[in-house]
Amino acid sequence: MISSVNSGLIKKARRGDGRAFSMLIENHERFVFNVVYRITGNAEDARDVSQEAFIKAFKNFESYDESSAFSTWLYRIAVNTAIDYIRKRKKENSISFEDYIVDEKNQKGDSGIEEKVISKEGVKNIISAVNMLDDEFKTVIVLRDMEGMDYKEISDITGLPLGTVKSRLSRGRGKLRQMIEKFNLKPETEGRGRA
Amino acid sequence: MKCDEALNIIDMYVDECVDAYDEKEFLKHIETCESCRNAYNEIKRITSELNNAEYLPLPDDFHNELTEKLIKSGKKRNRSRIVKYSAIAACAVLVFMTGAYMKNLYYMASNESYTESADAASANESMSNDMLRSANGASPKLFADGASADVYEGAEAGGTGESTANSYNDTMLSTAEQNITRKIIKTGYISINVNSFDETSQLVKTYMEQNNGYVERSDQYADYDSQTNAYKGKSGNITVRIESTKFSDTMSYIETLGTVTNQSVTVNDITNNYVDAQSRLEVKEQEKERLTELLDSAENIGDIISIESRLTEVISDIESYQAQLNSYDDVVDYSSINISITEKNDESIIPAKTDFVDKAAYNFKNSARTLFSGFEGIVLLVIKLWAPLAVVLVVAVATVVFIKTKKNKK
Repeated sequence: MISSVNSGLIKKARRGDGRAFSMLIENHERFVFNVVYRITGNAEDARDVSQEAFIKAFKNFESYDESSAFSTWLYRIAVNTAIDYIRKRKKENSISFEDYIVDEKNQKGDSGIEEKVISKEGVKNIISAVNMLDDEFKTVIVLRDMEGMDYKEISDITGLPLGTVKSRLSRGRGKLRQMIEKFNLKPETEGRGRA
Repeated sequence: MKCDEALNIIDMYVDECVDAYDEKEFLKHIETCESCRNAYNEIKRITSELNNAEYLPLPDDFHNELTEKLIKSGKKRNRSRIVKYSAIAACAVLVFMTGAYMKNLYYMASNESYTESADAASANESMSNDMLRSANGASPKLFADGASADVYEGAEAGGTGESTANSYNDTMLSTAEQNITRKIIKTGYISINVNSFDETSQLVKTYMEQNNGYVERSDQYADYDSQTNAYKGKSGNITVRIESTKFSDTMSYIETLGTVTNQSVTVNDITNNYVDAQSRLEVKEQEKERLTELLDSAENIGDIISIESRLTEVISDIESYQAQLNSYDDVVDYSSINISITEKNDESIIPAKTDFVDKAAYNFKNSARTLFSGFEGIVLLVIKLWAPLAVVLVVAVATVVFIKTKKNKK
């Protein structure tokens, strides 16, 4: 729910006041940008896609019925926009993660990530390994392990049942473990905190 | 706890979502089972490493750029809203007009005694009045300039009013170039429905007295319904003569006395006839002069008699031409207006009073009546078309439900 302080801004934003909406979302900008960045794997794309998500939210602000938290509603739009974007990008370019996958010729149409031939330089750490996951696993891993959301929040944002969230999380982590083993990823040095 | 079960709850344990019993059992298991312990440690490591991932700062100018984009798309949205609301308003007006039109069709079919011209006038009451007024607005200019040919203004129905007004403008243009004093006869015909015949005819008479006009002829009779023989009211005709310069004002005044059901103005240019009569008169005058001179110098009685008899003919011709010119002057200087007055017990008739408050009250009532008539028309239309409307409604509801369920599934 949105605090009463914001109710004036909400009214204005619903009437199509872009500046009011901009003030409403200001505190969510960095979070949305980072979630989108982690799903798309590219900062430049994340800039465009997160802005697109905000504009989408603004245009559909009338449909926000306040039954869920404003942030949940906003993140749902951001996550869906980001997933739509990477699916589109995949369709347009089969070498989707050009930063990581270099030798596409050797790969033979397998969907499982572990079978893909991935350059070792690409997957330097676990974070880059997350980028190699399929969308369905990546989304829950990003939201749970990187953003620290609980299962319920993830379920609300993705629209998936709790059970599915749990199983995808488990399978996603399993895939990460396989990648760690395959690329012999060393733990990152300690001392890095979340901003 | 077996390995299967332990592996199943590793993730939940890492996420701190297991109950106390499972937790205890799980910890007991990994103490002894190395592979499960390794799995747990690996997942623990993954999650903590991911959890420590750094947040990227927002790109430079992200907020300002986004705000600008939002403001722009907001403006667009407002504009599209205006378009949307305008469209809705236009549709509503269309629906009302259709309703009013349907109501009149219905009324026409159900009331045979209603005359055609009255129908046409009432179908678009306010509209046709406006048209008439605009046509009248054009006419004074025309009369001042003089017309070159017969012009007939038929403003029986609102629909034709506009085209008539246009043809007026054309005539005005062509005549404006000519600077001859033209002789034009204007005759007006106007039919009005009023509440009280006596009151209206008295108002007409008073107006004529005040404006140097006069009532040339008037008659009145009682109206009975042809089928029921019931008394319907008094009707009559009044022909008035008014200075041609006051023609338009008088027509406008008469319009305000009741509901105009029919109105027309005939303009007849008699310049040629007039000039013709004038020149014949001149010729005869000259002949008269010559004959008078001859008479003076005549010596022979036979000549005198024949000259006098010719002179008598010429003088008679002169008088006849003079009379013709006088009558021309009379009809040119004084226009005729034939007023046909019908008494109707109908509230929609403008009361025969002309002060502002009454007019305003009338227009207010009339507007409300039009709106109501629109509603009535819609209701009648809905009743008339209930079967196809029901089908449309069912299809529409089905579509909405379909779209909603589809959206929900998404």
